Amino acid sequence: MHQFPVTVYYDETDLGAIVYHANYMKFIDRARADWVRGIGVDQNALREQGFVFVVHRIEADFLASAKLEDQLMIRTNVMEVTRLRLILDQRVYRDRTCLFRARVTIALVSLDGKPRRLPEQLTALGDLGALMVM
Amino acid sequence: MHSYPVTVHYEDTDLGGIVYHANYLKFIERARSAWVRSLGIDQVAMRREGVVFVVHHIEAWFQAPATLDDALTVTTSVASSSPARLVLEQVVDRDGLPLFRALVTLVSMSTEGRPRRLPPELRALSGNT
Repeated sequence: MHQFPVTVYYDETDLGAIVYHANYMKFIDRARADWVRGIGVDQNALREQGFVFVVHRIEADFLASAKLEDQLMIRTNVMEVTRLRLILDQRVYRDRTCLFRARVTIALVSLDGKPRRLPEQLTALGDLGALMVM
Repeated sequence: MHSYPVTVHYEDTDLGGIVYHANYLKFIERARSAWVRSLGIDQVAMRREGVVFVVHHIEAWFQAPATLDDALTVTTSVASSSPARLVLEQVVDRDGLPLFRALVTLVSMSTEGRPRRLPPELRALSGNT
């Protein structure tokens, strides 16, 4: 499991005085970026080679709200890896309360939109049976 | 069915040269706000009375990318409704080509976080509106 801390700032809140729902997608994207960097995937280098990660599907539950200055922790677990896609379970916690959870499917594509094999640092997770233990 | 136009601005794009995925959620939220306004719902007045809409669940499919200057249309229709929750189907298309599709479950809550009935303008709606 990868953990990534987030503090809620004013610009992330909305009229309801809670975190604007779409911002959870940004929080979990930051956690993914931190995670892939940590296992040696350089997204700038990939982009120079003409490849980018794309989100293919998201299913998300908004369970409770976060407020200004909340200290959140994003927990990322790998659910499934194949050559072409990665399915992550990402949850946002405040202390022991889960506020948000999402199942996110990620793929790598060329800049003209064709699917490409995921970087070996990611496909290796499946080979090793290393799910849930990052 | 409600239609709402969106033009892709530079700020909406990312390193991949396409619309950043989370921004589709903002696009469809703008469409929902325009739609509820058109039904006579004033969200600022609701907020003064201590009630806000919240998104409870989203299921989203990113089918094809949008790029800078694309003229998109967000189409919103009611998939199902009850006194307490509304499920909307929202599709973002470019010239009829669907790029993004989502099922969005909305509820009303008091600002203290308690569930509230939806406004009567929404309770009156049924599926496929």
